[in-house]
Amino acid sequence: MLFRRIIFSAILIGLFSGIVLSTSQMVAVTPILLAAEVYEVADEVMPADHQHHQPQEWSPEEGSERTGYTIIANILAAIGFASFILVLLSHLKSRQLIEFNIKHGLLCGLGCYLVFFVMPSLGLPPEIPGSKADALQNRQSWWLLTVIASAIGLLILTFSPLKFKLIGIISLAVPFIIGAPHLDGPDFTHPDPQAITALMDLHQQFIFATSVSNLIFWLSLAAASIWLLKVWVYKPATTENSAVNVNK
Amino acid sequence: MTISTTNEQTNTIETSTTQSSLTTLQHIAVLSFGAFILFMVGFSPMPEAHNAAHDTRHSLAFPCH
Repeated sequence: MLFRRIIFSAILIGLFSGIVLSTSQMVAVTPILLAAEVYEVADEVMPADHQHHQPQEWSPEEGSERTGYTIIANILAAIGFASFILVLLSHLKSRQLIEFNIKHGLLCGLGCYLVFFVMPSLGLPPEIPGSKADALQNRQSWWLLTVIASAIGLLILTFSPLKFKLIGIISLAVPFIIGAPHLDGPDFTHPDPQAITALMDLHQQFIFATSVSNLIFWLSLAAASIWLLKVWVYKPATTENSAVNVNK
Repeated sequence: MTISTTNEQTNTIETSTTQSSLTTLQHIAVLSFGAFILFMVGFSPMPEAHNAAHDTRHSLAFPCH
């Protein structure tokens, strides 16, 4: 059954790409988050052990527990994203719009990177703790709108006849015509000007680090997806035969 | 003979349409599965889910806090 094979593939790919994401995150992204949290604690004048969350809420202990939960969350997110890219590739193939090869796979991965990371980040750049932002619900709604509109726009631009391309461009532009939700005033309101300079510097580093880490993540997802679709999801009979051959 | 061929063609088209709808349904089911997981990791307002997935949300540029 196709459903079962795609879900199983999503889990396998999620495990692989979640570990790829966790590795690049631990090297380049998490150190910036931790550095920014130091200023966030000082900014809110809270005891160091309270971090930036309400004291009564559960949160993982610093160190290995926090890392462990982050790796689990990365793997789960990767399973979710893998489900999306597997369906995209499978659907496009069923419409004979792509082939299961590495070139088409990586192009789809780049498309997903644009849809899920680049386009939302143009309006709402990746945030470090301590930055001031509009209400969470407004930002989540805009993020969702941007992802859906960008996906529709990019699909139309790539696969539709010329006469529909304008709709694709409009779809890509709509979230930016509406505008991303932002608060008036500076992003950082730390009382120490040196801290603000440090936070702004950390924010720039964070945008660069997440851009690279997400690109690696999406390319790994795409490459693994195209490989599994080709060798297993759509070729179960061949795989069984080869297994028999190997056993022989 | 002609009628029989037409019937076979109609059957083939119907089978192909049913197969295609079944594939689409299965694709939608997988998308729903993925969307549910991503909602829990990236959007869930539960404080515990937020705190556990905090670094993931920031790294993937999901809105956080």
